[in-house]
Amino acid sequence: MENILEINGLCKSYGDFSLKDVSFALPKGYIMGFVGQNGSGKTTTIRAILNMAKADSGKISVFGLDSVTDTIAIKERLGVVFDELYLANHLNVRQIEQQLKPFYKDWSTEDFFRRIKDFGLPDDKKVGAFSKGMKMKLMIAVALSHKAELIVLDEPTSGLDPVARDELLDILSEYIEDENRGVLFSTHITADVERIADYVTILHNGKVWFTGTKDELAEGYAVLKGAEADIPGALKEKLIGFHNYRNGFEALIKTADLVGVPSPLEYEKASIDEILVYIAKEDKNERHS
Amino acid sequence: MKDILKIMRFDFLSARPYALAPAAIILLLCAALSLFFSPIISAYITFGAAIFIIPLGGVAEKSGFNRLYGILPVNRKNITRARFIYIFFLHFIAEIIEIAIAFVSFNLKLNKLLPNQNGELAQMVSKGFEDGFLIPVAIIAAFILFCLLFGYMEMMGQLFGRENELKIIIITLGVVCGVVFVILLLAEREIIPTLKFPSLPVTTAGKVILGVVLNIIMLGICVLFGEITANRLAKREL
Amino acid sequence: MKIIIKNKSELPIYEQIEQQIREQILDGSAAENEQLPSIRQLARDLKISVITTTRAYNDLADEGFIVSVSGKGYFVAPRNNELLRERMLCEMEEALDKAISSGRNAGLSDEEIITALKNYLEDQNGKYS
Repeated sequence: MENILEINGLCKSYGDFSLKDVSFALPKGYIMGFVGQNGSGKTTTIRAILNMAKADSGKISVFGLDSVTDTIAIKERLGVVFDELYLANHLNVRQIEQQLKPFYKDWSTEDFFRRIKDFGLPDDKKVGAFSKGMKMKLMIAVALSHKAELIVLDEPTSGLDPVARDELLDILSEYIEDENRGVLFSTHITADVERIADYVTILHNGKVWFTGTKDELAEGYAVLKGAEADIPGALKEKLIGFHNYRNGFEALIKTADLVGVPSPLEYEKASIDEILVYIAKEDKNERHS
Repeated sequence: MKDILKIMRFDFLSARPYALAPAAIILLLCAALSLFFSPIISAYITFGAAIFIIPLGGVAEKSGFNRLYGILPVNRKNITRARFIYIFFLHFIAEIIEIAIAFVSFNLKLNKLLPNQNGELAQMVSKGFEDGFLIPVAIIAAFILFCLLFGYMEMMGQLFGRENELKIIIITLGVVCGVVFVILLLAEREIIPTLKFPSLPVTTAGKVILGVVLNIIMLGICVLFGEITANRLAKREL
Repeated sequence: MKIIIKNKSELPIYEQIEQQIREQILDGSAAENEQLPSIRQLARDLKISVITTTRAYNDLADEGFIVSVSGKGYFVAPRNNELLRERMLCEMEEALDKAISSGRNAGLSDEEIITALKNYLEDQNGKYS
């Protein structure tokens, strides 16, 4: 399978924050959810993909091209949605189209305005006055109008209402129907990823905690509950984010480690949200011990 | 080169909504005053060019263009270079318009249409239409002054941040005043010989060549400013 | 083809899809050789991951409910398909097994169970003839 995006051993440090050996790959034709707490390094990774941040070491390739030396060729085929609009706030959609058109070889004015109409965006209003959802749709319209083959979204859903979030999922599902495309979707709202993502990469404290298909993640972890006294000694080591309540405990566990779990303990499948919560709890536990 | 033209067009379209109406008013007003009262007034059209530059810093900041620059498929250095060529080009266009208007005005002598030709005011006005020498000098001086000023401010603003613009202006003015003061002081005490201005060429062809050379020098200075800024900024992240 | 995804269901989404397609094939509402939506179309329509729909189709193809025709897509398998027949027989055996054990639990003799079955068969035949 051909990878549309591939990151190998990306390292980057800024003061007290650092990305450590970040590696993952997104095959062509799929959507990857890129999740992690705020500050886990998602945006820095995306900035490195765009060559906006310079990596200390490591290699990123997009469409098989090098992200540093071929950055212009890559951007010709790349669409980006940030959490905030990066277009001229004081212009309307028609003026923005005029501004952007010469930059892309494959720009289609017709496509752009058809999309603007589909998305219900007014073309004579200043885009700075648009709602958050409208701004997000405008950025997607720009990406689609130059026939971007990979769309990178950095926290597109933060601050969006549920209707706009659902519309975004609709747009992305439609986009990925073409199997030559790809989507990297960074978010801390995991419900968005839970449904449409094929692959998930979890970033935690600048490191990749998990990367693989969503099914591997969903089937790979479970939440274990019960009384602390029932936990066999050997198992305790393997619990992630162990948390004791008055009535028992809860912890994340790899399903592979579930064999031989005594019956008084109960387990159920873990959602991505729960996994994130337990990873964060594990951090706290480590700090306390 | 293509990148630079694209970015210049982008900048022009960014400034247009703010600048078009005021620049048009300045142009019309200066043209009318120039035709009827004094050809030299056309030199003020340079302000119209400035209006196309002033809003750009604020627009870029408000609209998060840093991120857009990271997304567009253009060389990052060319984005910086383009701004300086844009500054030169706008002033150059203003200069050409000024020369054309001043030329027409000087030859039409529409001041004759003003009432009360024997009045004191009319006498004063007509003096402006007698000597053709000072007009191009004023126009080129305005061009050089504005081009230098905006080029310099653009470079300093990009290198040290627009929020420090006032500080940059104060420091620069201080340095310039200090240097001039020292030179004057030294000249007065005859420690250095008083500067003699080179005499201007007498022939028309000589004057035209001097004008063209000054324009080329300004282009060179703008390109140099651009190159310095682009090289310094290329090391920074967006 | 009608497929409804319940987000709050305990069943994973791919199993929900498999179950519903299987039921529709078994009860005849999906006709033989009927074309199914493509993997990517279905993912788009249901707003779910492509890998999920791929998995559901692969499982159904393995079980013999659907066949993949390369370059054309997926179709409902023909009725005489061996695998499908086997699967149906298997289901019948399971149901009979359950019926027998329920009958025995109720204290019926083997003869009584057979009679009950015969009555059922006659009833069913009467319904359709």
